[in-house]
Amino acid sequence: MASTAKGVTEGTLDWSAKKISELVKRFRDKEVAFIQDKKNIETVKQQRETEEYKLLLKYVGKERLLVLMGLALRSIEKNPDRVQDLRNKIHGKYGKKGVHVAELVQIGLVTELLTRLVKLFGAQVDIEKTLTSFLDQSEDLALFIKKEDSKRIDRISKLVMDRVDVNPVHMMILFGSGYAMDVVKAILKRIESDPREYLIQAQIEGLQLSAFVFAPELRERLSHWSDTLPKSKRETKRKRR
Amino acid sequence: MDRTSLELISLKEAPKDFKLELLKALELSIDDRGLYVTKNGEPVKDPYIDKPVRFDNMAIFPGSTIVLDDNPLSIASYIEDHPEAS
Repeated sequence: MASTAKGVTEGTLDWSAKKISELVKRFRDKEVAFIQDKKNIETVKQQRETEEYKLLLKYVGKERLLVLMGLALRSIEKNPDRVQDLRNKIHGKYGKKGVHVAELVQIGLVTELLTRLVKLFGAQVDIEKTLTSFLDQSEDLALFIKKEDSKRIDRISKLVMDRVDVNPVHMMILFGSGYAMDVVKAILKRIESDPREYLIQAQIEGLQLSAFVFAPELRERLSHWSDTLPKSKRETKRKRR
Repeated sequence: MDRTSLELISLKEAPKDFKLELLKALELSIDDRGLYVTKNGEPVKDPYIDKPVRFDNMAIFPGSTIVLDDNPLSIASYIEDHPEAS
């Protein structure tokens, strides 16, 4: 907001009572707004101006606020209190699924998928459909592992394999950061030892581990994890020719 | 709204008395416990998160005197609804 506004005035005002009437007049004339702290509005402003948001905005519809909140979460990652507060707000408004979508944006997965889809599909409508399909299914496809899950390695491993077997895209994505990375590794080790021989692709970026678990049947067909997502009819037709 | 005309005034350093007088001038107040912003004696709810707005975390935008909780979700939602403010 402040990029096109005059900016945020802070700490330089005359806080005397006689100033109030002048400020209120300017407020009534729609010249000023009052905010508690500049940091939140600046977070929003900065993320709206990023190339990543502008790119995602072209392909997401109703999810655009969640996309913006995902980018906001990423930008405030070093402040756990702010992260938790924003997560709570997202949960209060959009529920668990909303938090999931925002977190997928936060960790960069949605942008990774979009970059892939842009290369793969020519038409915007195809990209939109696949991306929307992924976001709609994100609760079933993605699992955010916490360090507390270390007590539930067996149960989570089984859950992941069951979901991979049952869901239509035969894929699950696991995420863990910080201490939870070791928990993800333990889960993957357990899945690896399964006689079905699930295909696992894992990548570590900084303190974050992302792992993709695929059904064994897909082993020969995959070049990228997004290959399992449903293709639009147009793309299917193109491939059949 | 002129895209270059909105100035954002941070109340972070403003004394409590100043903020109370400002609220009064905007026909707003706070509850008995001093926690929440009120209008006509009723707590003002942030329309985007449906929660009462805390006095120590309020954001007030012109137009119909829109009072929000100062958090990224509410601020971004407001900008979505009021593109002239972006």
